[in-house]
This record gives sequence, C-alpha cells and structure tokens, in this order.
Amino acid sequence: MKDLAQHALNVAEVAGATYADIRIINDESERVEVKDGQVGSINRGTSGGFGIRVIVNGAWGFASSPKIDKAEIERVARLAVKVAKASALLKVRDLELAPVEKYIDKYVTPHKKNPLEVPLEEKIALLLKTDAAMRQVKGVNITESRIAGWVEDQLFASTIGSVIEQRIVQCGGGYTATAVKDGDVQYRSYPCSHGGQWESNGYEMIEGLDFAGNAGRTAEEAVALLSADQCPSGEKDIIIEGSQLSLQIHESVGHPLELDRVFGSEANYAGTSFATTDNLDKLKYGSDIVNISSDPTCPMGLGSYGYDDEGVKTHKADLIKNGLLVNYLSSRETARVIGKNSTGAMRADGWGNMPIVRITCINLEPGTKSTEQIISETDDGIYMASNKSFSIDDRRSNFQFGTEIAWEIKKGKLGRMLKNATYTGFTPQFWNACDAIAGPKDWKIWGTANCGKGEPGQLARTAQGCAPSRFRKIKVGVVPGKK
Amino acid sequence: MLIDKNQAHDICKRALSFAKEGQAEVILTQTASPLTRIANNTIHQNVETSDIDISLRVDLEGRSGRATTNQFDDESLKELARRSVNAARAITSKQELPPMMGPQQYREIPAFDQSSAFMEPEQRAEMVLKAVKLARQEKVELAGLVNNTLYATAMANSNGLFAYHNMSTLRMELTARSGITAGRFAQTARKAGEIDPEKIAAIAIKKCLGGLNAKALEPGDYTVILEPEAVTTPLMFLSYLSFGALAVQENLSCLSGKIGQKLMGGNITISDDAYNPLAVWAEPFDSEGMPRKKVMIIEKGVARGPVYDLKTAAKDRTETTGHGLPQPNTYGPMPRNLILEGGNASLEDMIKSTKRGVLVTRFWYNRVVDRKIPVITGMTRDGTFLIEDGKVSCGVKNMRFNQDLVEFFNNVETLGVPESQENMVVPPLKVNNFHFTGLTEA
Repeated sequence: MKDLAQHALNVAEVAGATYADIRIINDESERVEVKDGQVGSINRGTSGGFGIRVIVNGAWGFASSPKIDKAEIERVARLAVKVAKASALLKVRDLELAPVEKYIDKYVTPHKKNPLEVPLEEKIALLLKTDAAMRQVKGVNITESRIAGWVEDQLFASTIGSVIEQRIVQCGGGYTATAVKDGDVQYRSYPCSHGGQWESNGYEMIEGLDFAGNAGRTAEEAVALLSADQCPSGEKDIIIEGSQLSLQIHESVGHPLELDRVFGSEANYAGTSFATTDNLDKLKYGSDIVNISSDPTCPMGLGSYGYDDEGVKTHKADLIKNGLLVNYLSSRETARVIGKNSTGAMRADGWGNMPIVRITCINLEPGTKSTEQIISETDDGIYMASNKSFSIDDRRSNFQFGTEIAWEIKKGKLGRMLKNATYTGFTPQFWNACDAIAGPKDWKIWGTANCGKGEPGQLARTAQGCAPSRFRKIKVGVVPGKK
Repeated sequence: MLIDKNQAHDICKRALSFAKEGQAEVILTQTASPLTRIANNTIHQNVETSDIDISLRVDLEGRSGRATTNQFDDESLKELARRSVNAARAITSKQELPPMMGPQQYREIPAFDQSSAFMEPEQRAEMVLKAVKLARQEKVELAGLVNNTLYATAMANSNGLFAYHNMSTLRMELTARSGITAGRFAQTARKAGEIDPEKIAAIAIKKCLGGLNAKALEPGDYTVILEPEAVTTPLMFLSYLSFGALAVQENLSCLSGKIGQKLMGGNITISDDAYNPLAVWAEPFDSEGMPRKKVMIIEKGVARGPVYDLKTAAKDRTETTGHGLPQPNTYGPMPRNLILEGGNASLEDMIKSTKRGVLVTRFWYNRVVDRKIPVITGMTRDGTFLIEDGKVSCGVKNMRFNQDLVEFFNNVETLGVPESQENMVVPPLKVNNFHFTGLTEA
C-alpha cells in the first residue's frame, strides 16, 4: 500500500501538482438493532478506496475511487490534476498552506476490545435483555435499542514526505422507550438521545454503561412524562445536563468556530458564522468561567485521533479562554489566512470525500462545584436533560433546543417533572449567562455520531466534553399552541 | 462508467451464487457525483467521486442477516455471503420477516440523459464562470454548487426477481451574499441544457440585493407565501413522520385513527407518485423489489391512507404500495415522491392578493418539536421579504417558526402552479396564521 501511495504522489507531481496527498482507507462497521423484543436488523459493512487531493496552478482538485490498484491510482491521480486545473479557472489568488511537519508514524485509538470482534450473539443478548426490561414497564409502547462499531484503517501519505498509518476504533449505542397515550407521544433515552453514547474506544465502553440496569427507570420516566406538567413559559435560570450541554457546545461553539465556514465556504449549505475573524481576541463569547478548547488527544472522545486528514499531528488548542474568543477550528489553508498554525481539524468522511474543517473534541473545562450544589443554589429554575430537538440559524446565533425531560427547581430542590421543555437564545448572550459549571466529578465527554456538513454531504463523528452548567434568565417554554 | 443492465445482472447473480443457504437478496447501487463547489466567487472544492455498493441479505428460517461491501471480486463477495449468513445465525429467536418476492413487472421511468450523467470539470467550471461574471458586476459574492449525478440501482433475489433502473440529474444551487444578506435559487434538471446558470444567478442576486437593510418584524402569526423550495419542508416532515404505514400502526402518525376523516383543508390533495413526469429523482421499484404504485394519501383534505411495504401491508391485510426500505428494518415504509396538487395562481398573483404577509424562499435547520401532531421548528433563510398592499416592500430579518403541520395544511388559502423540486412536485403556497416565534440576527 505504501508503494501505491508513493506512486500516486509521483504521478500527481509529474502531471503538474505542486502538492498532493492520498488517503487509502478500509472502513468496517457493524450495527445491531432490536425493536419491540425482536432483532430489528443486523448489518456488517465494509468500504474501501482511496482519495487523492492535489494543488495545481494554485487550486484544489480531488478524485477518488473504490478500486485500489496501480492503474486506477494512476488514472485517479491524473483526474485529480485535471479537476484542479478546472478549479484554477476561477481562482483569485494561489492558495497557501500553513506549514506542517513531516511525520512517519503509527497511531491506534486506545482500546481493549475491538467492537467488531465481540461476538454478535453477545450484543444481541444484551439488547434483548435491555429490551425486555423496558417492556416490563406498563404503559410503554415502543422499545428500540442498538449497538454499533466502526474500525477505520487509514494510510496517509503526502508530497512533504509524511507517511502516517492510523487505526480508529469507535463504538457505542443506547436505547429509547416510547409511551403513547391520548394523542401524546413521550420518550426517554439512555444514556442519551439520538442513538446513545459514542466514543473512540473499545467494546468495554458498552460493558460499562449497564444497559439493562438502567432500562426500567428509563421506561418509567417515558410513561411518567405522559402525565407530567407542561414546561412553563418565561425567563428562568436553567441547569443543563451534560449530554444536552454537549449538543449546545457542538452547535453554538463548535460549528461557528469552524474557520472554513467563517470564511464563507459553507454559505450555500451549512451557513456562515457570527464569529467573524475581526472578533478574534476581542469577542467576549462567554462569561469569565467559560473555557473551551479543541483537543483531539482527549481520551475516548469520538473526535479523537492521532493526525487529521492532512497530516497535522493532534494537539490541544484553546478556542475560548476566560470567555474570550482566541482561536478557531482550522485547516492548513484556513489557519494560514489568520496567521496561525492548523488546529488539526481537517477531516473527511471516509475515502471518497475531500477533507473539510470539522469539530474535533471540543471541551468545556470543568468548574469546582458539584451539580447538587449548583441545584441547591438555584432558587427558581428548571433542570433540563437529554436532547429532543435542536435548531440554530445559519450564522449560529439564534437557537432553540428541546429536551426529553425536565424538572422544576424551587428553593434549591428538584421538584415536579416537566414535559416538552424548550429554551431559546442567542449564542454570545447565552454563554455570557453561564455562572456555574460543575466540577471534574460530573464532567464527561459525549459523542455525536452523525454531524452533517459539506456538499457533497459528509458525516463526521465529533465529541464535546462538559459538566452540567447553569445559565441565568433564559427564555423557556417557547412553543405556542401546546396543551 | 455506467453499470448497465447486463453488467448489473451479472454482478447480482455472482453475489447470489455465494449465498448457498436459505433465501438471498442483493441490492446494487452505483453513484457517481462529480461536484464543483464555489464560495466567495471562486471554486473552493472540486471533486470527482464514484462508488458501487453491494448489499446482501440472507434469510435462514426466520432469521435475517445483511452485509454490505463496495468490492465485488469473487473473494469479497464470498466474504459478503459469509458475513450475512453469520449474522443470520447469530439471531436466537425468529424475526417477523417480509417474504422475498418472485419476478415483478415494472413500468419504465425514462430518467437517464447522457448530458447530465457525464460532464467534464471544465463544463461545470464554465457554468460557474457565467454565474460569477454576473455576481462580480453586481458586487455580490456567490456560494453554491454544480453537481451532476449518475445513479444506477439493481435488485435480485433467489426467487428470480431482477430489477434495474438508472437515472441522471444536473443541479445548480446559488446563494448570493452581500454582508449578512443572502438570496438563493436552485434548479435540478435531467438534461444539462435545461439549466441556465445566468438565470439562476440573476434570481439569487436580485433576492440578495432586494433584502439589503432588512428590517426586523415582531414575531407573531403572519400570512406567508412560500416558494416551492420552502413548501418541501412541511411535506418532507409529514413524509417520514406520518405518511408511512408503520407510523400509523404505532399510533405515532397524525393519520392514526383518522383514515377516512377530514384532516386538512379541502384544497389539499397529496399523493405519492414516482411516475409524475416532474419528479426528477424517481425509481420504479422499492428496496423490496416491488413496483411503486401511485398512492392517494390526502384527498381534498380527507386522510386516505399511508404508503406500505410488505410487512406493514400484511399486518393491515392489504397490498404493498412499493415504498419499502431494505428489509428487515425498524423504520417502516416511506413516501419517496410526494406530489402536492396545485392550482392556477402564480407567485405574483399571491403577492398581489396579500395585504400584509411574508414571502419565504426556504426554511433551514428544521427539526421535530412534537412527534404526533406534528410540530416542527426552523427558520427562514436566503431571501425573506415583507409584502405590503400587494407588493414586496422590503427585506426582513430571518425568523424562527414553530408550526403544527396539520394546522398548516388547514390554513392554505391559495395554491400555485406545481413545479419540480427534485423528488417532489409542489406548488408555491399562500398560508394564513403561520407561527413565527422569534427573530434571528441576519
């Protein structure tokens, strides 16, 4: 494979490329689903191929193919050069890249049990046991659970001499109980919504989740929500649980700080950003206690890896320091424009796509108090947990989130359960309203398995670390017409 | 390089030959999707991508396993079969599996054109150049794409079923930007010559310039005039939340318990029809190999019924309508080509008849807030305008909505002339009492 990779780079250079890189990838995946006491589906997938990226006449070209042999690699390398020449017809200036060191290295995600080597029978048994525990709860109508795993083997080589081999092992899963009555549908998920929890980790993470042990409580909460009170409308102090806050960070910090979208590359699809580069080192993004960094070296994060897809070695980089915007998620091309080095956020969905700037692991540093202490210091508020809906404008400013469940907080104590909880706000105002972040004991890294961006559409797996946090005077209960 | 019917048949046959136990089914999908992407009036991403996936399902006495690969040499196909069989064997209790059907008759959908299937990167660059030239004249910046797609799919099973279909499209999307103001227009066509880059750019630019210095409206209930791209949003959500038979059977759909009853306005007729000539992205069979049928879902406001696959049809003692996804699955069937019957009004007629309202180009980041009703949220984007006294008076800042979709289709006042929106066919709509609940900053 290394010889083929080197051959591709040689062909591209001979055809006119001033820079080229190639990623040869084999992806394997497995997904097991159980629904209503039955195995719903099992799918084991493999996908192999390579993608070649070149710069010719100061512009990018990219071509890919699933057929990995010498003749095809030559054809695709020449095709990438042809594509780049077409790109150059419209260029305003030659593109420039921030410097990167040459690496010859191997990286493997830390893990004990390869999820694809754990017997299917074991996964099916766990899911059926969990499903049965949910279905024992009276009033539950639909039960769904799943476990999935991915293993990506990648060889990266570039014309600066880097040869990097990586194996990224990821897995996760979760389940949902749905209760339906009198025109109302309520559901609860474990350990979090949108499929569950996902990590760059081995199957041991599934074993640590105690699927079956949490199934009864999860199902009982789904049924209880049917008769819970509606979330009130007004301004409230809200405490946001970790998995919901993870998505808040993803949408209102991760995406607006992707430097390619700041520069307008996503203007036709994923949108732009309010956090334009004139705000760098000036914008008070959040309160003084808000510190957020990009850290793909973070253990177990779904956005953890050794090198990004243009050969940049991963490292921690501050994005928001004491509430101030200090950097962006960047690639070699975008970082160069602001005079910085890449934060190593260039990632592609598999072998067939060109890398774009993506969220890595972006982590909100923990505070000092416990979640219980923060609740006890809240006079009139709402504790919201598990995302149900998420929507944010194309500049990543105005957002509306809904959660599966919430509880009223009165005089420092959790009270009645609330359903259909929603909150809304504007990104900088919201983060400036953050006045308490729970400590390391309550801090956890949450995975997002299906982040969409780019045209053609690409999926990325990202992570956000955080602990439950409090935000003062947030508008809640914003959906009209709900009974 | 297109995989033709004979080549597809050979690959399917070879894949099936390695599945030596039980019943087997293979689905082959080829997609080539070269794309030129622009931003800030330059090409910033330009890709030539293609792939072929083969998915093999093996059923062993009530147990079903599936595996997929994109390699189709004999060794890879043998491994594919081994994995499918192992998956089926790992299942300890029987599943409710839909049967694998025998040979079917399919109505042909002519959906392939050389001009859109095969394009050189230089041709796409020329289209972009024409658009960018206009943008530079007007001192706005374009973002967007030109994307030609070649698609072929085939299905076969051990009961002798074989199906093949191919299609191609060309799509151009342009968003014109000036500061934080944007305007957009997009077109999809079968034949490359039917796409006019200058027309698309001119409309996007006009919207952008017309929206400069947008003012903020107070959130509240407004009459809205939705361009066809915006109309696809409520339909798309009804499609996957409510119009499939499993959602109805699980009591999760707004159709549940309402079949035969008046649910929407008397002017609303929604069908699913892959054979509508304006449906650009359409296939004559589903992922169970069953022929697609035209299905009346809402007729003059009355709920007529969902679309079915084999499994949900058996439960309701009816026939599949040809809307199945690869089996077995937990999602149930889904419409693929929704057709909202229109009227004679033009967009201009609707604007003229409106004393005060909001013209919407498209919606963005739409999500489900309430599953059953259903209620969705999202925002306007890329061209939102105030209409006063029958005229577009100015641009307005984008707004967030929270909208009950059944209520929405009860509040449609006027329907315009239907047009193609990729897999859907929809008219522009004038709708009363649309719930805007917040403002965005752009």
